Amino acid sequence: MNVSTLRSAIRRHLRLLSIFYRSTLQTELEYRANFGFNLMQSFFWLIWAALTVRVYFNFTDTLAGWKFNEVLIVMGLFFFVNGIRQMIIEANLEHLSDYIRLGTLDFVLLKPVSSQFMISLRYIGVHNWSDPLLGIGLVIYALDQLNYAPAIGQIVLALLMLSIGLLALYSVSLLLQTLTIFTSSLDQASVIIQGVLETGRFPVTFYGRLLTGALTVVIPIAIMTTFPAQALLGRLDAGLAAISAIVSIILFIVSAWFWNFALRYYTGASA
Amino acid sequence: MRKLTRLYTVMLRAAFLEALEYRWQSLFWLLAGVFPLVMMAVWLALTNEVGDVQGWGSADFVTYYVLGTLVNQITGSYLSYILSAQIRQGELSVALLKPVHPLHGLLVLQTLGYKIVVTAALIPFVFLVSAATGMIRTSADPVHWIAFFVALVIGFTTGTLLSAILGTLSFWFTNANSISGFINGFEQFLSGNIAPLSLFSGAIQTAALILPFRLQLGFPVEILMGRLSYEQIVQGLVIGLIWMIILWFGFRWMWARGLRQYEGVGA
Repeated sequence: MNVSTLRSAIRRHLRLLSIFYRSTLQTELEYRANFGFNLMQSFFWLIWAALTVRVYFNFTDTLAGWKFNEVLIVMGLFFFVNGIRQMIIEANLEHLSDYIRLGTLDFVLLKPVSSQFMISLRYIGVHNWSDPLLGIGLVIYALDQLNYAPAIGQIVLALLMLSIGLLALYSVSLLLQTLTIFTSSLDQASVIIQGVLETGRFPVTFYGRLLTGALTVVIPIAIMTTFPAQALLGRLDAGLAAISAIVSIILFIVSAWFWNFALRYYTGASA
Repeated sequence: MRKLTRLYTVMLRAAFLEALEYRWQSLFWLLAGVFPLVMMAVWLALTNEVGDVQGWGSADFVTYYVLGTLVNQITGSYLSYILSAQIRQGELSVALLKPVHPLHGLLVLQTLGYKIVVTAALIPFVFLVSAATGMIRTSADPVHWIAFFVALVIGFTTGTLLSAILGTLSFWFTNANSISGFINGFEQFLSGNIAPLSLFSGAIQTAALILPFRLQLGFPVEILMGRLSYEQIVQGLVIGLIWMIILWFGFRWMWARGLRQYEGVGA
């Protein structure tokens, strides 16, 4: 595959996404009242989360090497990642269970686009927009409180970590989603993903050596919130970050393979 | 033929209710079972850093949160979400046809299907942790144990009634679940889930003493840990009984008015 076919393929997929999301946006915009309420709701939980962190810092100035505002950065990034999870992963997960239950997965498979693309990105939960936005807001606020402005290089590195982190989250979700083809019990999958991500609220170094290791190498939660925060603060451990990144990419490849494997099983079964 | 249709209708309704139940079940497990352990992990990081925190050491935090996870399963409730869904989707009409109050059906579903199973599974877990770490310390005073069980019953009752009342909000509001969420947010603090209540300021501690949320975690666990004087225990039990009465009548009132609203819409 040469560069021009790759570029046209990307363009085609982007155009499909704009078609998908434009219609969703139009539907969601009709419910204007929801927007204000959603924002208020996100704001409440943001303050709530900040207060839960505050309790610990009533008794110390640093915790496992992190200051209060630095932990807020991790918390803000958690809101961002969790919000993206709700917008993209959860929104599509709901539909996947319908596809399987009602047999309409066949129609998805018949379309001239990658089925993984369709089941992953077809829908978007627009009403969850406030979490990612407020999350970034919290990060900016915390950086301001620290009187610290990260250098461009650090921001770029943080964005890289964040992107790979989102890729890892997507891959883990896809693996669980694929399992539902075999087990058809999807609600557990959504809650499991949510539960595992919850550990990303705090810097992983809070959890003791064993758990920190697991969250860096096995299920790379660390790269979703902790490493981007460390990148912004200029104290990212390059070695750990590299390991986490490699694990994430491997997860992505494995999840894509597993999806195709499950499809073969699915089409075989219903034939 | 009619028998078959009826059979299918019954089975579908049961399956639907089960599916609904499942989702909240898992979510409840996440919030009431896993979340406290995450909190515990952070407290342990703190005691690692600064040692004892106002009379709470590592062993105390481990005891508090491990017992807390168990107590949460018994006293906690996700009734509000199931009831909300039933009201919003009109499923309540079916429940109302039955000769018993719908609340009983929901209670049985939740209790038999979840609480008993999970509590039974967690008890050996608690013993395991106790044996493995030697960190779990409960009171040896039999009075404390009796008071603990009484507190559990009060906690279960108030927790269930609170959840039921929040569920009835769906008779009037479409986003009652969000409102329930907000209340639960406050509850997380005032019940002692985020931190043992004695670690908060005096004002918050007083508020927590008066409000019913403490009955669902902080109160029973602190009794069993032997951290409360007899006087404090009696005080808490009396407050608990008062709340039971208030919430019982509160629920009856909300339910009656809500039902009038619900049936008025021509359900």
